[in-house]
Amino acid sequence: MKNLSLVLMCAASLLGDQMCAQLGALEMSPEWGQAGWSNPAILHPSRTVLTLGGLSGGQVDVLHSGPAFLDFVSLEGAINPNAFLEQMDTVEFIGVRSEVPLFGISVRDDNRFEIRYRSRLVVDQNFSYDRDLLSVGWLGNGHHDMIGRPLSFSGMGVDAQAYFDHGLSVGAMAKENRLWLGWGIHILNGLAAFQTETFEATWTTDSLDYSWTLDGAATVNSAGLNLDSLVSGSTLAVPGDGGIPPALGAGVAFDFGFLWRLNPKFDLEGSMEGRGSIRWLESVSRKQVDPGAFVLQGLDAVELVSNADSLVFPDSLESMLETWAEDMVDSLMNTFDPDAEEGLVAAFDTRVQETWRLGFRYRPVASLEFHALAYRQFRLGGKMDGFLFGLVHRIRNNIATQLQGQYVQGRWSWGAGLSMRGGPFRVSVSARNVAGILYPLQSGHWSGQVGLTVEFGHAKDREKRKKEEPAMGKGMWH
Amino acid sequence: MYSLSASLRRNCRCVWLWTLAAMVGAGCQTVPEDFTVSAWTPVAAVPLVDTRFDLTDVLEVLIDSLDTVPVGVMSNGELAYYHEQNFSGSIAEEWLILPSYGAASSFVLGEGEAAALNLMPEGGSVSFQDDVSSAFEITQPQDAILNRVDLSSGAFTFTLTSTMGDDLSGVVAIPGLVDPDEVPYEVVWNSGQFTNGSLVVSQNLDGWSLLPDQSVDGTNIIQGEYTFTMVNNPEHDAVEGEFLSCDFVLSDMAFERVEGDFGTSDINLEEEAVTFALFDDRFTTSGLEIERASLRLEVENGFGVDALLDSLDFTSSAEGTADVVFETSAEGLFVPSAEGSSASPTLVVWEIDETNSNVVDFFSAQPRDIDLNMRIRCNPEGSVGPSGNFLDGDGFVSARLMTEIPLSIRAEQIDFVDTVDVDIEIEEEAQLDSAELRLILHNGFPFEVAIRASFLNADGEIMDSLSTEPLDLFTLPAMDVNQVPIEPGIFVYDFFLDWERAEGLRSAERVVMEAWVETADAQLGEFVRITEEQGLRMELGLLVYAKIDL
Repeated sequence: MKNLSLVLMCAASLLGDQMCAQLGALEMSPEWGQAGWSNPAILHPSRTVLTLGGLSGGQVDVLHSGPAFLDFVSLEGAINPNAFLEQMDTVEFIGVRSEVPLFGISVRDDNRFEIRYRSRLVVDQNFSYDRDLLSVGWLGNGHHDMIGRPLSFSGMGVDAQAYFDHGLSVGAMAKENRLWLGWGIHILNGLAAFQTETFEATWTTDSLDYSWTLDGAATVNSAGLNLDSLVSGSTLAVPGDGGIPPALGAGVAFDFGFLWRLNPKFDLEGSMEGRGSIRWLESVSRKQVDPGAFVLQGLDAVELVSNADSLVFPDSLESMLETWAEDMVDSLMNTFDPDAEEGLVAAFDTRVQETWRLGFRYRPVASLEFHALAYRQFRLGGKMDGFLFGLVHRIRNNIATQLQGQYVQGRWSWGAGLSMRGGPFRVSVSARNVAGILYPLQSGHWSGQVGLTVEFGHAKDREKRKKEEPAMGKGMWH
Repeated sequence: MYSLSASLRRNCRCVWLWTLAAMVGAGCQTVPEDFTVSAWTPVAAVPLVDTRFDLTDVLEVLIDSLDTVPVGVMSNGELAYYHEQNFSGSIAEEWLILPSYGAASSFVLGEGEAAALNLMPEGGSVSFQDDVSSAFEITQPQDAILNRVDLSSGAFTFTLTSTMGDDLSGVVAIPGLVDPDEVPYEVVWNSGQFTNGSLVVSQNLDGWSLLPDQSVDGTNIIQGEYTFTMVNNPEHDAVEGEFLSCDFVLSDMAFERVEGDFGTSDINLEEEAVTFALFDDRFTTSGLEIERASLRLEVENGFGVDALLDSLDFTSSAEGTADVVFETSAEGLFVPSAEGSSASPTLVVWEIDETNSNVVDFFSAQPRDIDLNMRIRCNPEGSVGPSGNFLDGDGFVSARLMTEIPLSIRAEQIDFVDTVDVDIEIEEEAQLDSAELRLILHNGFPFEVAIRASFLNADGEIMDSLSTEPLDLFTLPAMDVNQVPIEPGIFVYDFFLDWERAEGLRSAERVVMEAWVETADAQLGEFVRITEEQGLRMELGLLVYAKIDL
């Protein structure tokens, strides 16, 4: 039970009942630091923003799409595996995405033009698994719910990549106080990647004779990880020898955005962020299992007996079974024999996270902003659509709070954020799913962002406003 | 920083409350220290066996022996029971036996001849000439006429014995005994070679030949000729009764080749007896018939004689009483001579079947003793001349009888009962709750089999059984109008085993197996043919109900 507890603890740390919410205060409002990167047409309220080091804006998303801890474990510790299975979707996933800014600076010229540069480290991982895999493990392939139907494991896969993102973008007013456009480019230096390009696997147990049919095919690619070492279980060699790993892949991505102010209270906005990919060329390898089918129909007793030296059981039976087992393993390995390719022929591409969004912002008064948008996001071979609405309350130019609701693939999550500025420093925190913090055992989807930035130019604007007009929130600071 | 704090105090109390509530809320949920989970009860379905039996495989399992079941495939794909019997036959050196040969002659001085010899001046001589002959008496084969005998071994000896005191000299010659160069045997001798009154001369006959003379006085005559001269010795007075004798002996002869006319003797093929049974005593049958059977007799003749199958005694007996005697309308088997030598024997085949004989009657479900004895007669058309036959030393005549019984049968009922001792050891496994063994049989044979297995304890009480009613293990397949299976009959049976049932089986010491077999439409008189394509596919699968406490 101790081992089980440990496993469950680890699992519980990843469980949650929310789908991954992929947009939040960080991407929506400039006070949280990244809005100008999410939509380059959005300008920052401060003339100059400087971000230094990892704490200046790190964010971590840990996402699990399956049941939450308390969905199948009572507070007294009684585990109900059947409840876990019943609440699973066909395919669930666990995703971890970390972004660590290394250096960033943005400079704005009034509300006409802003140029930004940012370097960051991105580590993105995703592990998806099928309900059938856990079901067959708990119920067995002979259970009446399992036998006679194909058990699909085709949703399984592991995708991960780590890369440096060096981005340069600009936002500019294209029509006086009416239209702002932005565009950006990202130079991507890949550090390591693992990609499940294809994975098809089904296991069918015949309900009449219990024979097994295994169908499958798979292709995995890696850069920086020796797949042979991984398969053989030997020490995993990672490039870099513990230091800064060399760049194994290179790529480029592009951003584009617009903000169209229909009237002083209402804006339309849209953007495409991060359309691009990384081409992995160094230390790459590919393992490919061609489509095949393996059928296990049991021991061919007649053939084994005809090849046996004697019919004296059970002595001969033991050797016959050994022979049969060896033949089966050989046959299985031959059916799903992985072909390996290394070097340039194994080069492959991975896409970076790409977000398309379209929405509006409405400011009934200067300190309040309602926004709503729909988005589609591509990440590690997956795609999800979502809808987000939120409220931002800006207080005295140095505090902003945010509340939002987000609907992604049939589920709701509720987030909040706080951004405070004192002097040249700004601290911001946000979470896309507050329930994950309040009730971690019932939700467990954690999304955390913390930022510390240095800003210049904001106070000067305030002084100028005191002279020319009454103090007020500047909405989108345009 | 002051301005930040002031702002928070004045305007953001709600924010702090919100943060505090979040921290309190988060702290209220802790992961339990201990976990409990109900027992893990997976059900595993495993295919154990998937194999195909043809009839040979089934019989191998039944008789518990590999590669000894005499069932084979005919050219048309039908299965047949085969039995093969080899006859050692005759070999040349036993069929034609060369007897030892001996002949003797002597010369005795009479009174007048002695006086005449004494009156001769010193050095005077008298010559004398005679011959001796005798016939080979060939008793096997009778009346064989040997024209030439090439010997591979043998010895010739002649002995001269003399009591005469005068000087003697002479020549012994045998025209019918020639060396490898065809030079007749001849020896020159004189009295100086005598020792104690005798002279013995021997000759190894390896490579020599005998050329028997077929004179009007007899056959196979070997004749020796001798001449000698007596020279008066003045120091010796010849007296009446002195003699000179001559003995010829041919012995230990073996031939390499014999040519002649061997007459009309028989060549026997060794008598054989075999017990033949389609079923053993575990079976009882009713309405069992076979449709076809055939015998194939192959005779290989390495003798230089034509021959004819003269006699075939083929008798079947049950429990010591002959009940079937072979009858056939087939023509006799003519066996031609080997061509030139025994190295080129002739092979002839005699085939009989149900269309020209009563061979089908020889085979039934019950064990039968079948006796077989046959002879062939050489030169069936009479004399072939002095060199019409030959026989090499390594010549032979052999035969092989092959029985083929196509498995085209009709069986109204075949019952099988057997009792097998068993010792079932099932060790209880805590993590195994129960199991269910599934047996699936796809029967492609044109017969059906029902079976019942009962497990008995030491007192003969039934502890368990597969089923109270016989199980239709081999379900009759779908048949076409020609009684050929077109789709297998499928039988599925689940044998549930839990520990309670296992306890009962552990006490079982014997299993009584009962089986009932009937061929398709046997009651209607239909025969079914069992072919190579027909088979029985057997599948065994296992459902394991595990119970694992975590």
